[in-house]
Amino acid sequence: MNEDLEKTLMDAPKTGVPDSLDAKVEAVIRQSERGALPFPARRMPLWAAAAACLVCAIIGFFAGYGSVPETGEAPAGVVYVKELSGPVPSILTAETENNGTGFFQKARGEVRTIYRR
Amino acid sequence: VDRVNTEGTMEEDFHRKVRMFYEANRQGLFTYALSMTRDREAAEDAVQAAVCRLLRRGRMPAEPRPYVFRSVRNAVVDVFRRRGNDPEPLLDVEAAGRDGHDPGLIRLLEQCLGRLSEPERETVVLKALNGMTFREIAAVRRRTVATVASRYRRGLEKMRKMLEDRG
Repeated sequence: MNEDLEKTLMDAPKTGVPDSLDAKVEAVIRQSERGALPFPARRMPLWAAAAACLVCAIIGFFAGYGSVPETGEAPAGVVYVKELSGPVPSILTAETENNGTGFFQKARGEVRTIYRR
Repeated sequence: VDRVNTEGTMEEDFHRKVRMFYEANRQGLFTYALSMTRDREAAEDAVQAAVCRLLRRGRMPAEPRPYVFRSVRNAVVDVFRRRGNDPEPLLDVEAAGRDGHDPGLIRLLEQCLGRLSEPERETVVLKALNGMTFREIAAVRRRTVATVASRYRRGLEKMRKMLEDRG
């Protein structure tokens, strides 16, 4: 009985392959032959993309926040500036000594200039 | 120069094999994708995605049928969910009349297929409609041969009872 059913199913006419599918497949094969197969554009729901963005932003915020050291901790290191002249050493020194408001606002470094004898 | 020529020939050979594979399996791939999406356009996209994946691979797998059918399945599961309230039929009732089949029986079979559970329908579509072996189906579904064989038998049994109930 099951064998009859199996045979009927096997012989049953299936919904035909649309011509558009043949055209699509032929197009991708031709693209591949030219070495220009595009990167797969996976359909992603908008909500999933938005959620992924939000999660990355939250992780990025906390990771960045955690990596900035609190002021008052021990100096992280010493920056040696070799025989520099001009405004650079003073800018660096002023920024670190006075807790300036620029790039070195939260730096805990110490700038020392080495002069050649 | 010889190496370049050899690579070129291998590439041509690969694309020829992909074409041949698609020609031989286009109906099966489409029916399988359609059985999961029940949407013509989504089924087309799933088959196209699977062929793209094969092309990116650059060489034919040892067993292309399970590989590509599995790719179709992954494309359907990952991206193309079942949509719509009006599922696309798997069997062609109009063609049945022209080909000498009983359109009533084909319509009934379509309804029975629609009432199977998804794993059962998937196995019946792969085995009975596409003529795949249990071993190939097990590779597509990443299940044991015993599991797919049992699902298939259960599916056919359910269909047989449904047909009997309807006289």
